[in-house]
Amino acid sequence: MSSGLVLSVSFLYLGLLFAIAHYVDSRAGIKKILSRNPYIYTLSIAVFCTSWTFYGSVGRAATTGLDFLPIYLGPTLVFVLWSFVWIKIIRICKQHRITSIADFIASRYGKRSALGGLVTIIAVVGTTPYISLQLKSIATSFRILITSSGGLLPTQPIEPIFFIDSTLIVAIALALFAILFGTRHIDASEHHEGLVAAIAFESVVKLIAFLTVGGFVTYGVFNGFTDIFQRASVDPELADLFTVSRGSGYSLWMTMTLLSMAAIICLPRQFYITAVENVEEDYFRKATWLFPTYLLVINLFVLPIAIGGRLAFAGTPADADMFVLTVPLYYGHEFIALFAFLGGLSAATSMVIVAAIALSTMVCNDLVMPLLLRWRVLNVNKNDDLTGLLLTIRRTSIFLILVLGYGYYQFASESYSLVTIGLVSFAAAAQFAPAIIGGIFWKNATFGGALSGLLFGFLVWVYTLLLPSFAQSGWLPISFIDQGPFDLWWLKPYALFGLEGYDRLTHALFWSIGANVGAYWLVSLLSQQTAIERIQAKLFVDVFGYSENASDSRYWRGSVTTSDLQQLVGRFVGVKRVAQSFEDYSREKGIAIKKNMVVDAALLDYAEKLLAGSIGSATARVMIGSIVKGEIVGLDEVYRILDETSQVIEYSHRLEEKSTELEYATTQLQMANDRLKELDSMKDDFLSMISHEFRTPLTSLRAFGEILQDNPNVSPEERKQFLGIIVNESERLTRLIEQLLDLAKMEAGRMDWLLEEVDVPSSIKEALAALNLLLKEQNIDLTLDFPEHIPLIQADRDQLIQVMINLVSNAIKFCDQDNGKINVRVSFEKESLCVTVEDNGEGIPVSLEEKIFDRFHQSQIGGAEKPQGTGLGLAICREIISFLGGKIWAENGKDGGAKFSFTLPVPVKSSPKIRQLT
Amino acid sequence: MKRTGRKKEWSILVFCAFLVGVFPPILFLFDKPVLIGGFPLSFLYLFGFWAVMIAFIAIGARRRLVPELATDDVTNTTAVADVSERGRSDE
Repeated sequence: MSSGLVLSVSFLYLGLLFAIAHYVDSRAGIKKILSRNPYIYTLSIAVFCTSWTFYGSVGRAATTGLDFLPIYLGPTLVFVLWSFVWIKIIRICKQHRITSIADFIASRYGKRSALGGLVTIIAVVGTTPYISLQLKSIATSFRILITSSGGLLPTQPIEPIFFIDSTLIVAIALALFAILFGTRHIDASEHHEGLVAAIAFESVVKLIAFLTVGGFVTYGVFNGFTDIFQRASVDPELADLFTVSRGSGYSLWMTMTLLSMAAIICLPRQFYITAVENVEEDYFRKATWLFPTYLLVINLFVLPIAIGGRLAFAGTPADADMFVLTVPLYYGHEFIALFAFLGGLSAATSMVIVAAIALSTMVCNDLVMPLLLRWRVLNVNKNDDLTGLLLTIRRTSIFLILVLGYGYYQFASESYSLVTIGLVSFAAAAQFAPAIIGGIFWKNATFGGALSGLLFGFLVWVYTLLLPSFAQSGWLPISFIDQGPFDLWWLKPYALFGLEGYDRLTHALFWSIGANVGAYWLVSLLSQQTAIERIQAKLFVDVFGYSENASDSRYWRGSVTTSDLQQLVGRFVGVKRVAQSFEDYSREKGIAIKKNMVVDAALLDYAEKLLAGSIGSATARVMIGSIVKGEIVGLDEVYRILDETSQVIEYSHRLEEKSTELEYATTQLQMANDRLKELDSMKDDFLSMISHEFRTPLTSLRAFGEILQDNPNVSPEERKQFLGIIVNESERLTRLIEQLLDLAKMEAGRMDWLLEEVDVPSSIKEALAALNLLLKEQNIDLTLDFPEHIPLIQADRDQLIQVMINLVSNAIKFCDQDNGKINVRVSFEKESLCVTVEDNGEGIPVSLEEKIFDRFHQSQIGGAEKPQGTGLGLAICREIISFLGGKIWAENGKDGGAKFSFTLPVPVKSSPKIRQLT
Repeated sequence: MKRTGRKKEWSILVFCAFLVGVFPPILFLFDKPVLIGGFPLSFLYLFGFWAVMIAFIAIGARRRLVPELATDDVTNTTAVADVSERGRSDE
């Protein structure tokens, strides 16, 4: 294929990216649609898939089988914990206007520029091999594409174009893109919608390109998956690719999984695109499963392409890393190869652009600015606009980072495969993991701990991975690897302290992370946190507790006027933007900001965060500190307030719980009180009723007694009649008193019960016989309904008769006055006997079905002035039936009359004696 | 975003299951160079297991349709229903 065609397609593609980014940035409407979208966000996270994925995975699969997968399983594992890790990081970034991973770590450990600088250095050194990997893949794929013709593959490197290496041209083009779209805003914490849209587009291109090649190999060259696997299974060497490990243990697999877990959080570009460029926390709900799905889909065809390549180039030496490109070329499909090249280009460019932007922000804010401040190059009292300087620093650093990547590519990367270079990078990024994860979950981690952990981890990484790679490229004598420096065997970089038997990566990771975590932990425990560290630790770890009432970190106490503050921030952020921001602030808080007003702590905090978005939190703090007179007093006090705030939140939570409990108790009490009132009034009614009941017989007793006393001449008939009345009335009184006593006894549990075997029908008949006279008088039609065989039950016969008398006399009282009907029915079920007494009166109001059994409750009959009876009968019935182990209830019958039923348990035949004993 | 404890428990469960599934010794069970239905066993297992785990993540990330307050109401009404049931059985 002609180099002209490939070059023009490449530059057309880059031009398209420019167009997309520019279009999105310039149209506000499109910007809103494209930035407020979880799908774009997910696709932008897919910047994780670089040319390492696109070319390197196939290369890895073609040599060692399935062990390319951990690089994608690790991120999925981290995304499972999205609500623990990612949401927390994103929330922190938003609240503190964090712009990069260096800013994040520096801010957490007390906004000290030393830590930010160290993180930046590690990130740059660690990312350089990664960028060179991308450049290498672009260069190699370009060379292969333009030198191939008719299935023949190149063997010689090609000549430079216009005397310039094509890789350098690519590097410069990428630097231009990053400069144009990554440094448009001064405020690095602002979102770059155009850039994100372009990255998302690249993710789509690389996915489709890879699937196209995969589909072509699987279905165009072979007959589907099974065909490829079938053919490979014949060759034992290829069949080995079906497995993860050929018996050589799983340490590398596990190391790579853990490494990629750390990488998805700690790679500067991943942190930048996932946390800093996140517009809306809620997008993570979609991204958390969509991104792993993207990874799964893009990996589906890796193994088929790898096997296809091995089958095609069997016997001839071929670079397995380039199978994605060379397999279509081998089968003469140049356009598929060209598309594959574009996919690889998109994978590489997206990584380089995002990484360069993320790194340049770090270099500018956390490395260059603090140094300039220290050397007093920036005269803070001067009044010049520094936004231009900031942009220049960022643009220059983007350029330098790419030059650095190109340099590493030129000198070192030729001897390594893509995946090996990538893993070296991952291992460097993994050094951030303890400081980040510890920083958001462990409050007591200190600045000293983080600094020493990072330093030790990084040094061990340099010694065990970076320096050996220099040695292999000829920069250092090779004896450095074989014999160790100065012939010290225990310092051999691939077998440190004699640790052998593991692959280089596991070895390096073990020592570096071991040193890192050990120092981080130990020094954190041994050193003290300063006040600002404690404040930041609390704000980071408890970020969800402070989300609602933000800006608690107001530690500025000194005095400065609004105009001074506005001037300072304006120098870094831009005068217009600051004026706008201050205006927004005053509108939001409802306060007027005047020029010579002394700024309060809240506005100072606001200004510091505004500044932090542009120059990083560490520098921002120094800058604000430089103009505030009286410095930052009372840091300890701020911490105390902060601590109290969290305690108050907790306290108010508990208070809330208490108050709900209290509310519940109050309603209960209210109900009990109502009930008591009701009972009280019932008692009053009862007392008045009972005194009336007592007075009536007493009055007649006295009257007839007086008659007999005063009139000795009363005829014997009359005397007999009067004495009869006196006896009757006395009996009525006695009955009333007995009933009262009975009830009191029963309720107090002092009743003497005489339990025996009772025949229910005969008891009922006896009760009815006692009422016979009354029934006759009222002319009531009584029907009985007994089944034939009714078992004997355990009961107190007299009390049972009492119950029946009470129920039936009730029914007599309440049944129809002219045409009274009462039905007494006994039914028998498995374990209980049910007795029902039904009348044809007015029935019971539903609301009273329960209350009717209460003591002193008396029903009014159809407009009668005073209730009849004592109001104790049903209460006594209930006591008796409950004692006998049954239930009693009232309801309305079908014809409207009242229906009283009670059950009595039937003893189990085999154990009548046990029943008796109880 | 409303943060509830249930989601956390679920994600810890999925995380542990995932980790156990892709690490030895479970991985060792499936890591054999044999073809099942034309596919290598470890290929089938790893991709299949991965897909299932992604489905689990998606289930865990669903937005709760019933907000917290509404569920409280539901428990309250069941409590009321309980009481009335008890009342009825007393008859």
